[in-house]
Amino acid sequence: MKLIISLLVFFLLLAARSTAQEKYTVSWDYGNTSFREFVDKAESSLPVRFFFRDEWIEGLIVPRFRTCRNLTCILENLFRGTALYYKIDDAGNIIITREIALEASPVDAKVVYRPDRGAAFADSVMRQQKTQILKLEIGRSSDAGLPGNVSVTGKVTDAGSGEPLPGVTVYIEKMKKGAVTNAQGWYFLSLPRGEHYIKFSFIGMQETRVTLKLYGPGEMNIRMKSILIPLGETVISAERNIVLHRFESGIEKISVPELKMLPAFLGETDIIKSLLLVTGVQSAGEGSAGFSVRGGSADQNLILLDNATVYNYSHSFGFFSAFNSEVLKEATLYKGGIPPKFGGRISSILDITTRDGNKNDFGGNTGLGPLTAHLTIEGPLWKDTLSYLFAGRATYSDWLLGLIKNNSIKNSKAFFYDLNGKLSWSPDRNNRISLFAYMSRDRFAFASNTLYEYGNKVLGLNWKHFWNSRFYTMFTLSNTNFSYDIRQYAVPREEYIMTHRINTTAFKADFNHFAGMHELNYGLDLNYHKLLPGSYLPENDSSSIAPSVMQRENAIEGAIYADDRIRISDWLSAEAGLRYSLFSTFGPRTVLFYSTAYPKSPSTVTGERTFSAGEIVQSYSGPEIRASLNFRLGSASSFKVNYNRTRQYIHLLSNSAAVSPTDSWKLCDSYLKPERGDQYAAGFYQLFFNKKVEASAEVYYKNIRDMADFKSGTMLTLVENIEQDLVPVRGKAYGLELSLKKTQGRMRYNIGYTWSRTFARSTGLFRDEVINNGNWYPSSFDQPHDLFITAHYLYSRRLSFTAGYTYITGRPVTYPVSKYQFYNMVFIHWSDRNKYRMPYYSRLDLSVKINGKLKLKRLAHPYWNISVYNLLARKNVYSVYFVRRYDMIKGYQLSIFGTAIPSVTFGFDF
Amino acid sequence: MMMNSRTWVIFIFITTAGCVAEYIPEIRENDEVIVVKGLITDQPGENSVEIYRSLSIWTSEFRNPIKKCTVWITDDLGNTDTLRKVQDGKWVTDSAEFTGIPGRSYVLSFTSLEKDGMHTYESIPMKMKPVPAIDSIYYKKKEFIISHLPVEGAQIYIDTHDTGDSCRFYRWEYEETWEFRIPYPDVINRTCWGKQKSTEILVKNTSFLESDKVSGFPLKVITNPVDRLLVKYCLSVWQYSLTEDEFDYWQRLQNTVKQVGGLYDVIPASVTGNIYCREDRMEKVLGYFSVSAVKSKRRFIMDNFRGMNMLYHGCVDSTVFGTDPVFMGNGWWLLIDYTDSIPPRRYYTHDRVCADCTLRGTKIKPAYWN
Repeated sequence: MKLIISLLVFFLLLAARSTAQEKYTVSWDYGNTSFREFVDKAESSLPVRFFFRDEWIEGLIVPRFRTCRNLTCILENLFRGTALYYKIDDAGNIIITREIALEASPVDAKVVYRPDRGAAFADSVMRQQKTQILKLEIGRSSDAGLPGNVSVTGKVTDAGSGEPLPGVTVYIEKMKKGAVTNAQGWYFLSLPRGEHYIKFSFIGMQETRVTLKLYGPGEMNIRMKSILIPLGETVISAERNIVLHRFESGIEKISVPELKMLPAFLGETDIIKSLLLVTGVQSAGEGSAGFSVRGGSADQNLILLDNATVYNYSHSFGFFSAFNSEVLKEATLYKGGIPPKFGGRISSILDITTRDGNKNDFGGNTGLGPLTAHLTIEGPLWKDTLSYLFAGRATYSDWLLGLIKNNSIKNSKAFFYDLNGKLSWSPDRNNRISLFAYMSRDRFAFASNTLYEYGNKVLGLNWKHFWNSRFYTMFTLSNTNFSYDIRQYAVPREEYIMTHRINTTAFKADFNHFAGMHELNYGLDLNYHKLLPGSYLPENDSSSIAPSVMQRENAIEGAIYADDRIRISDWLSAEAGLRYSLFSTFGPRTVLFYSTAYPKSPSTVTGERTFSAGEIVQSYSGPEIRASLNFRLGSASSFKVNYNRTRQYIHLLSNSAAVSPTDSWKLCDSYLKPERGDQYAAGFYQLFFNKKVEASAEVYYKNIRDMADFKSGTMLTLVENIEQDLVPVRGKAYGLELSLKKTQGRMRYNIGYTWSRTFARSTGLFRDEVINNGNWYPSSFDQPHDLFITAHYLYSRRLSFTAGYTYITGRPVTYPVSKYQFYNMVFIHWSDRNKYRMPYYSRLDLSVKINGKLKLKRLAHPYWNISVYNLLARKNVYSVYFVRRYDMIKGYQLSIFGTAIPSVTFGFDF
Repeated sequence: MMMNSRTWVIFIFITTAGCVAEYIPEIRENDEVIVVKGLITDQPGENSVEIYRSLSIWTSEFRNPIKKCTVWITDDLGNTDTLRKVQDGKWVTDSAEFTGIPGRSYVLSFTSLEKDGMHTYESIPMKMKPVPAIDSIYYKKKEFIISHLPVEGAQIYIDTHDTGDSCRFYRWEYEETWEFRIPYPDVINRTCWGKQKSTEILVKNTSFLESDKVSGFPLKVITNPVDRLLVKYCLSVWQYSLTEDEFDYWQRLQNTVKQVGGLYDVIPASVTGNIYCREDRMEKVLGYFSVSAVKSKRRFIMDNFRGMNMLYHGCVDSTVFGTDPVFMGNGWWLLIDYTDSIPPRRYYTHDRVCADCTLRGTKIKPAYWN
């Protein structure tokens, strides 16, 4: 059927085709060359330009057609029986299309589409037709004969939105020379005088080709038009060459469309889970909240949402991320090479940005997943200048809990929601102001006598101002609040409510100067933290609980930074940055002093000092050096080295392997020192197969000082003097990360393998403060082998397959080694910390997406998504635990998803 | 209106998900460490200190006493009392010489011959805090569902208060004694007393409360279908004062007894107490040297509880009709002798527990029973 239609269209086309283009005589021997070579030859010998997508012509060989002496004849024969069509306009533009034929009308191209093809695609072809070809001159032609290179800089912006475009590849094929635009869209080239043919390319934007006659230094600003962007979705990243040009190693962009392609667990697209498909990122366990970056603990990751800190990033104790993927624009994970403008955490920065509302049309969408329902509305308040975006998501079911084989959990109730709102105002080209708000909330009733409630509230104001084309500032003022309440009704007359709260007000000023070879960033980062470590209040009138409120903590955390990115030559660029951070806690506060001869405990207190309000209790400060070098080794590979120092002034009090939303935050104080991390990393990046496949290898070594661990069995809530339970720990981590990625074409894949080790060593002086005799021991995140493979195969527009496989070495655990009887009870004596390992983790997921008939005029476009989570039904061990059974100790393993979980999703687009 | 791509509903199959399976880890070591169970009180009588070692997880054995030790206790006035060995692993104070006094501090010391020579162990100085008397022990009837049937049991509570607001940290131990009777008239031993000591950590911190008052601390639930509440039941409770350090120890111990190893559970580690090795301050010594004032109280329960299970149902294994002498041989016991009724018959059991209460208790009536 398909073939018949194709042929039919083909003959229609044949009939309509004009013969005017037969003037392009092919005089060279083209036999048995690849199509790309053929195009290159044709473009250089004839006044023609070809437009096509690389993946369409992959493997296409041009045979020798005996009767053909001109271009049309060759293309006619070549494309016969394939899905490809072509069109030649009067200007010599040859536009190749796939599955859609263009009518050969030279001026106003009308698209002839077959009824079962998507309209968006036809639209893109229409736009592609208008591919920009610019002819520009810089300088006076009389200077043409002068020797030496001249510099050309410029800014690349989106013609539609006026937004600067970072990551655009600027490339001069003949010289094998190029650049990539920086975060504000700037690029810099140093070229000899003369005529150059420069390509500007970026995924999702139509390619712009400039024929530049260069006689003197100057500026060349380019506006690129977007192609194929269905509204409401964002196509970013997949920047093919950007990996080579970036200064730092260890940076990963997560694209939202790519994210949506992954098999989603229970239909929820999850930005945090997708991080696990980045080498060097590991999860603490299936369905748990925290993630570990290069062996760091979960609280060493800073999550920024539109530049504001988010303290809790999970719903339902970690099963789902707290971010609604409908509002996300992009996310960048800095696991190494953290730019000086970011700081405050040791291991990584996850910089998430949300998209603006549509400035032209009102729009909205709604949907119902197996667990959540969501609604998004957006549109202009003032056309082209002011827009809004509101999104909400909530659970309507907690059937998932019923699956967990634990009676207390089975009888629990879980509910969560999150809301996002954003107002974006661009009064003119030079100013962008946005006001955004985000909140998330969870209610979790555990076994009917304990109620957990927790959530974030974030409010932010952001102003970007372009002073001139080379100077740009951004100011962010934000307030973020995280709190949890635990209500406990288990003991009559002792019902209580326990509250923990952290509130951070932040001001950030970022300045960016672009000056040709140099790009200067500097700024200020100020945070005011207010922390209520815990309050313990009677829940009702009959409760005899004495209200108690722990000493509040107040602190200022500030930093100034400056950094220079220098393009020293075509093959070498460098970044040198310094961040100087300072932290002060101030009163009112009472600090206890202890005898140094004994471990700190209530009975070894020797005195105390009370600080009055505003008096500085303790200050810490220090420089953080960030430096990197990038060597370009030809057009398809590069080598980078970098060094990072990071400081962290806040700790999450946790003595379990995974973090829980009810863990408390703690600011550094007189006894709890700031964590310091040093990371040395190097990476090698290579593009293969016409730059379609990206391979990378990175190595790192990390050193972390002054981490906090806690004495065994300690309760970490409502602890007034945490130093009594503190076990100071040092950490080190090293690893090798290999990845291979193909993000375009019919067959796409992403393969990552990480070999890494992470160790810790306690540095305490007393027995209770020493773990494993003070020797190095594997930390809870030490999982040496981590392999993931995802593959996506687009069989046709209507059928696609995705498979994902993960293998991870088992988590280290502590096992019982002996038992003893004490007061008629049996207790366990445990092995050295993390001496043993759980069985390995292995999981295969599959999903198939079948699209219904894609008729444009249809109201809705239905599709089916069939997926199987854990296809091999492996009983992956979530945890191992030991229970006393009379006089014996018995070990059990718990698997949360111990079987294959098939799901069928029916959806439709409208 | 813009075009958009959205997901609409959805249906999902889930077969079964989570599962728990037995897991036997491969453990390559057997670390036997010293455990100390020492308790001195302000009551006259012997105070004992037990010193033993932990044992392999996979044995059902528990005793691993240390045989040779010199054990002594010193107080803050410089008095030293050497303890006397009464059996392997157990040393006691001389009841005539030694009684703890609230307000004083005590240090336990002992020497033991280890692999690398003689080691001296000592506790940190422990101060004895006074303890108030137990105000009351009381119970409420509580209904439980046992094999789909409602059964009444008892929830026992304890109240205490310290007018001086000084104790704040409490620990309790209890011992249950109950009289039980085999419901067959002709068994060899019919009435006995059962005994059981508490097997859980019972501690309470009142420093979060307005006054140093414990009201309705749930001490014990009797839900068991055995015959504890059928005749007469007695709960003896000992209330100990704790220092904050000792309370901390018990609480940490309690936290590690809960299921450990889960992702949100604490990373397990042995809880060490207040005893250190002088030669190697890092050596792990388990257990605790407790110094507590103690008060005790007893509570009897004689009440009717609905639906109590008849433990001796189904005891009859054989019925012999007639009056002829019977020789059932070894392993048969008479339950009821009806040779003088009509028809003459005798009931026998094959299960000695049905005929001899001394298998579950003692025939000796406790002195406090009346």
